[in-house]
Amino acid sequence: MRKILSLLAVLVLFTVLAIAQNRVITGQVKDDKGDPIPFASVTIKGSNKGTTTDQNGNFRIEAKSGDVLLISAVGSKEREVAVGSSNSYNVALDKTGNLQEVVVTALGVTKQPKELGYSVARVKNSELTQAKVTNLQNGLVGKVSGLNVTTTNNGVFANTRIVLRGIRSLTGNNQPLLVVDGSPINLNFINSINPNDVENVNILKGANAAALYGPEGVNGVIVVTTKKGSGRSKPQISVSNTTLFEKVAFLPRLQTSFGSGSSYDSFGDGIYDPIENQTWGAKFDGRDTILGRVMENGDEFKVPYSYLPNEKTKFFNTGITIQNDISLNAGDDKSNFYLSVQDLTTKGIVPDDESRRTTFRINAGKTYGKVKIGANVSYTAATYDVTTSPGPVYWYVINTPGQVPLTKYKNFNVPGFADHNSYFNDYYPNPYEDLRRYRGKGRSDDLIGNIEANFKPFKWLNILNRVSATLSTASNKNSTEGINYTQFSISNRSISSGGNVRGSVSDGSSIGNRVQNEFIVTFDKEFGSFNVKALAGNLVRQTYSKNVFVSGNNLVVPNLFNVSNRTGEPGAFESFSRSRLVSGFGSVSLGFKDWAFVEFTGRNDWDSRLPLDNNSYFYPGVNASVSLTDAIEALGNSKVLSYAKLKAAWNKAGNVNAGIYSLESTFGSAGGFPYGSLPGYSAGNTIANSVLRPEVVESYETGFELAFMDGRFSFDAAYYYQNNNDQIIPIQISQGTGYTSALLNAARFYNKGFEFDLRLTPLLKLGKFTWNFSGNLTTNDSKVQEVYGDLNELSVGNTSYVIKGYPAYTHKLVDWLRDPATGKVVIDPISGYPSQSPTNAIFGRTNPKYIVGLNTDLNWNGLTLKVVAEYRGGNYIYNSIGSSLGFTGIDYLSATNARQRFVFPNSVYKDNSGKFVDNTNIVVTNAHYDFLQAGRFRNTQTNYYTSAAFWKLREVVLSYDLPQRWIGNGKVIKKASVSLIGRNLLMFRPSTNQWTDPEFANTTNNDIGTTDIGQTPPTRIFGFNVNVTF
Amino acid sequence: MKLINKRMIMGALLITTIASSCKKSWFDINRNPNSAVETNITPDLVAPQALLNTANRASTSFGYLGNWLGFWCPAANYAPNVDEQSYNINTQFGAYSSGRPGFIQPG
Repeated sequence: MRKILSLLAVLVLFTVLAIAQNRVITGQVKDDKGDPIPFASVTIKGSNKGTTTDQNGNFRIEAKSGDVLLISAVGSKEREVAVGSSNSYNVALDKTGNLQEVVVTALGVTKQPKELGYSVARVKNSELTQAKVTNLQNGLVGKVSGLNVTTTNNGVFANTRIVLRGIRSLTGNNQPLLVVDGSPINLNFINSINPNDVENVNILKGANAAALYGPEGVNGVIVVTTKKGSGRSKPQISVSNTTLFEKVAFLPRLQTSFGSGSSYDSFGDGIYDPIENQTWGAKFDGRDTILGRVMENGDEFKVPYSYLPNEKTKFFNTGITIQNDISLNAGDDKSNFYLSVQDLTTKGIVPDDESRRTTFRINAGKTYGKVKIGANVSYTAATYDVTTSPGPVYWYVINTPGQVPLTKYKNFNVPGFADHNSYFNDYYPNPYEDLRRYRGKGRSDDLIGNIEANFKPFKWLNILNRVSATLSTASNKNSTEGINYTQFSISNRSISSGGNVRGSVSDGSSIGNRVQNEFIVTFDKEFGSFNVKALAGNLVRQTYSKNVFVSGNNLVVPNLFNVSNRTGEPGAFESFSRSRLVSGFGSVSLGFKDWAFVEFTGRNDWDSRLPLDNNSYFYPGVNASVSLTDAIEALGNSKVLSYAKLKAAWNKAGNVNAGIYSLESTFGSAGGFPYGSLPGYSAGNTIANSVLRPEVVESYETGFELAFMDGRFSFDAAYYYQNNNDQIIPIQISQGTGYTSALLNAARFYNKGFEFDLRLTPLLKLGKFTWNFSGNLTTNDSKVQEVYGDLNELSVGNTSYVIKGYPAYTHKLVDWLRDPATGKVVIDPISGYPSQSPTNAIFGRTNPKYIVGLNTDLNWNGLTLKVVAEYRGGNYIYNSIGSSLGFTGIDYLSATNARQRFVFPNSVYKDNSGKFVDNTNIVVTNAHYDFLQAGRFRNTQTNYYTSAAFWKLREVVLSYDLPQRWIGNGKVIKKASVSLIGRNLLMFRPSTNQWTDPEFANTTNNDIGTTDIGQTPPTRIFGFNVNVTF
Repeated sequence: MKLINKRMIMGALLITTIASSCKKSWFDINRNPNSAVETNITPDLVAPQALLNTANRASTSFGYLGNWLGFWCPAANYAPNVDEQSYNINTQFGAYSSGRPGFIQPG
């Protein structure tokens, strides 16, 4: 390569033609490995004319023979190339450091990796979208250390929780800030972003990296930079289609021996009941048996009394997601333009559930001399139509007795056994009918945009003003169809609604916007051996939202879902919120001889959510780094070691977890009021605290980055420690105050961990075959040091607790009464039944302690196989879904010992002398309804408590770039590729976890770690993608 | 140069706008427009619910006190509040709904 280049240089020098005429010069800038360098600067020496290379390293500039092109890029040595007779130049730059890629840090400031005293991870578009994720956050899973994206449910709305480096607030927000093209926006908008529009994602892992964002950045920042389009000779159009299928992976382990019933005979055997949804009935015997009652016309619906495998899985559809994308990328050395449209339709696994999202994006910019203006706007319209069954539907499906041919009940409109007058079960509805009766439809329109103007009066000074806004409107309409029963049905069935029910409707709409202005001045100048970079800025923001909601019951005309079509009072609700924030921030960083760097940051926030006299807080920070390979010549010249950096950082930030209007106690209309015209107000539960302060988070971070053999092998390690003080917690107070709890700044805890990233690029290279590998390991541990005075624990919801001396959060569960010496369950020597411990016991943590991500890609002749696998472990989960299924007797535990009397395993009893004796022969009196169905079994939460560890095959992608000769040698079609995609194809989990995906939770809040039947079953996703570039 | 001047003026204007808008009153918007709060609630609005609640408590919720204080004595073959009378106050005490609300088997 170097030889060719010198030859090229010689050629250039010796063929200078004295034509002093401007012409277009094109070329490509590559690094010494032959990979293109994006955003390299190409200028004509001695003039201010210049351009930058596009993503593929291509540039285009007007120059004349004799001009000298000055080509530079971050992390590479500058090069001069003289313009000769040729119109095309390929330039290779030698690199100076390990990572050529610049990193986007806080406020969009780009820096070389060696300048940073904190951790920033970068995920490129190709890695992010390799498995054609529909939500950006799912594309990040497993790819960087320190990041934990938990998908708590699936279906057409996949709920996710994103946490960087564990938690910092016991009761408040722990999710990171989202920054899109420089503008901080609400994290909820992450679902409106088209992942294919994303150029790259830089993850500022902790408060240190995000110090300039102050309290908003205390949980880290996800910095999304969208594609801008740049310096191409011709516009490039890219069209792609992705079709993905989603299938149920598994259901909870169910018992397959017993049919419907809810009682037992004198032998303790279940009795069959044709109208029961509980499965505490007789053992399956295969005989034809009546199901449900005798119908009005005298017909009986008979089915073989035997277990129907897969009947419940068949209820769920194969979900289909279709993504169509078209994008246009254009620009020249003065302007850039990017346009894209994505249409995404999803049909869920739950019948009739569907959603659609259409995203448009226009990014454009132009340079006028020293002024550069740009606008980045994206508009997303989304609609959905899903069931809002209060059941939910999953519950109705899964507790259906094993002999019931559920899929035969599809035609509920045809009079007969599937119709609600004759449906076999009195207590729960036909799920097919129920999901039609309860519908929620909605639409949202989101606009995310900013306009920025950069003015660079001098080479060392840049002034930026950016106005950004997010606007969103949403409306939703939930409707419930009425239901009418025949007189026969009303008099013969015990209908849970008591009879005919009229329809109801609710209609809500909301509008929200957030407008902010940022003004930032940056300074960058060399003073001798020193480089000084300084930044000063100001941010002003207003956030506003308004919600209106009306509802009506007893709809008069059936199926006319309008609030005015009702009798009785309508329900109505209105809310409004507005908050304002002003920030001043600045940083000064000093670089010495390009190897030692120190940066000081400061930010002051004035926040309208805080008390008026006390709304100003200052957050300082400092970080430093030393590049050993630049500092010590012997190391820099080493053939083996190519990069070595040490880093350290400290900062203090707040976490403003006070909500809007949370400083005053509220009063609301009490139940039963207004009574006629008499109002009755009562105080809310929580007494407000008007002197609340932000929670204080002090973050320490240190680490090193090493690269060997020209970056072929690199290894990063980081250690972080966060002291989280002044935690805002609710404390129970005497009800004599009129309130039940008060908020105050009290608890403290620490949170620490290690992060390791290993990259082997390539691990192996044999001819045309390359094999790359990267892996990351994250550990996270926390410990609560103080709650409040003598108070040592605090519930945060579900079974999650904050307990002094334990990790945040820790499960606290109802357990069996145990012998403290051996841990064996104590039974009653008469009945054989164990009993519940009178106090809840402390169990394991809810947040993972270890996360491992493995990424590998194999390339051969245009064929690429990419695999991402992830492990999480050290945490535990309480499957309340198991308890619910135990209630209906469909859970596998409910058929323990075939419901025959058994000796409770590992049990002891107290003998007459009061000593614990191992129980070998005392059986439970009744192993049926009296024990396995009874609260004493189902409410003993430890029966459903398991390790939440798992290995998941997150992404498998096999793609093929069609050879150029197949597509006409690039005349019309520049590039074409096809790929096969699989997501979550395999999951390995401990055999004790028989219920569901341990990643699932009934919340995306801090109290994750509990699953219930509110989630849909885990799924596998597979499909294909076709991509053509013109 | 003209452009530079214009920009500078605009920049200066912007800073002045921001600086002038930084007055305390600009932040004085944290008054709850959605619910009544202590500053605008009046005793006559709270009294009806307070009376109702007191009456409810006294008439329906003080039974346990009666049990514990020994004012009430159930017949030998009738024991509606065994847990309370035997001081068997464990984690299940007062847990009426077993499992999720709404999943209680009718009948």
